Amino acid sequence: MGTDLMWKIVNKSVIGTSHQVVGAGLQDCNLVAHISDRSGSPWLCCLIADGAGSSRHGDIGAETALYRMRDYVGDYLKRTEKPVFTKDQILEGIQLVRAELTETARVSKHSLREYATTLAGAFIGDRAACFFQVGDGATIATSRAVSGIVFWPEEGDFANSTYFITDSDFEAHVQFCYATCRFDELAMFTDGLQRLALVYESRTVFLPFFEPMMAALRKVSTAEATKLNEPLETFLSSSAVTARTDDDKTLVLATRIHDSF
Amino acid sequence: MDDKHEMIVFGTQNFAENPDQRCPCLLLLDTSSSMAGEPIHQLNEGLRIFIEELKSDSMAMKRVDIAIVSFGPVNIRGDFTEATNFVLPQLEANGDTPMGSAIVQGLELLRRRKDQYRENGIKYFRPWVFLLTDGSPTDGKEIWTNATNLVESGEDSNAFSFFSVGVGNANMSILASLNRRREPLRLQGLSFRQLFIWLSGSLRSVSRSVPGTVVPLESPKGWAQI
Repeated sequence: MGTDLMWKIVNKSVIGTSHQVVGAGLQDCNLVAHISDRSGSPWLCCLIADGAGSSRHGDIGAETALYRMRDYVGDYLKRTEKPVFTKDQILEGIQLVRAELTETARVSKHSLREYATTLAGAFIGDRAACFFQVGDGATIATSRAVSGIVFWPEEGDFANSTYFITDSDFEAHVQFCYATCRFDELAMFTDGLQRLALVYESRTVFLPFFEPMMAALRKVSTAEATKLNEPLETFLSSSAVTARTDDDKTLVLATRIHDSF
Repeated sequence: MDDKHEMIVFGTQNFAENPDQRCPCLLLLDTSSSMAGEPIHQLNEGLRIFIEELKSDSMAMKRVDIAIVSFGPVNIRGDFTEATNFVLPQLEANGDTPMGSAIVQGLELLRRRKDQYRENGIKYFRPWVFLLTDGSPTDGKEIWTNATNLVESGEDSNAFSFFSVGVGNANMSILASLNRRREPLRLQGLSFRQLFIWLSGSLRSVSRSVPGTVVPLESPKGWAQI
């Protein structure tokens, strides 16, 4: 069975109303990939990035981060029998992104900070999972035993200020977690949805935000799951959402097809 | 039911209720006797439009916190409150120009407001302070030096962005020495209206900022001589 049939996924990045007002483009993006390791075990690879609104080329920074990181992790998985992720690997992956962005910046005569972006990733295998994050946004992971937010979004003192992989001290802001258990569901989102999906006071997940969508995703057939991308986009652009956030927003939801719950 | 035409509904009606992030804005307004007549009338009109514009934007209404201190003499016309609850003061022109004292008292209001944000876990954008004057400070030297130091250290530590706007015969060189980080702007005639429309628009479109960088602002053309 192809690894692409192991998970049902919906994923969308939608432009925020404030970015539309000032004529800026979408600076959020996401990437979902299915990669087999050397022993043939499937891994789900989800990445989200949010280019800084105040930087000129945050969108390029965000997209470059996703593809470089996916390539880097994909190469590692393909040549490894029993993959074990370490924080050093993630740091190396981010360094590769930074190297490419530094080169892009040099050629275009810009500074690296013009490509500022956050980056969060989840790599989920049959018996292990790796999560990492720089900056805000969040990942919710669910196994049979636990469900919760992996890292609380790291924000600066001011609203909407955060940390980026392009910061010179980015290493101090790389959050990392490796777990040897099987996760069955995953939700990832950028900071545009944080205040709708998280309870700040208790620093917990606001489950009622996700539950109707996860329930719908669990219920549909694999073929139907892709059809949910359009209504997800409609939802993310709806007035119920835009009345609460004017930022770009990304949402990725994934649920395992077999043996889940 | 006709399944083929059934709309797939995907989403939720359930949102977490978190306190909104705030954008504090402190207005320090010269109401000394030299503002009497048309200037104070235009200033009042500008303020009215400012509040109206903010209230027409559901997000700005919840996020923008406004405080007004008028000087001539110093009077706290409104401590920080959400735009939605803001009561428009009617400003009258009289007295001298205790600008330094107004700056010191206004920044103290701002400091207290930031403490409140922190105690309640509310995120905030870098505060904006707008000083509007048509004259020169009449404070004692000590108060003025104190005000200048507060503005300088606040700008240096990114605690706020301080903008000075000169009206009519304002002493622009004093305003320039008050904040070396940011040149004072001169209001075109009495275009308070344009200034406040610009300010409400800027407050509405405050976007995410990289820590340590200056908040990007739209050009003030339309109300300032540049």
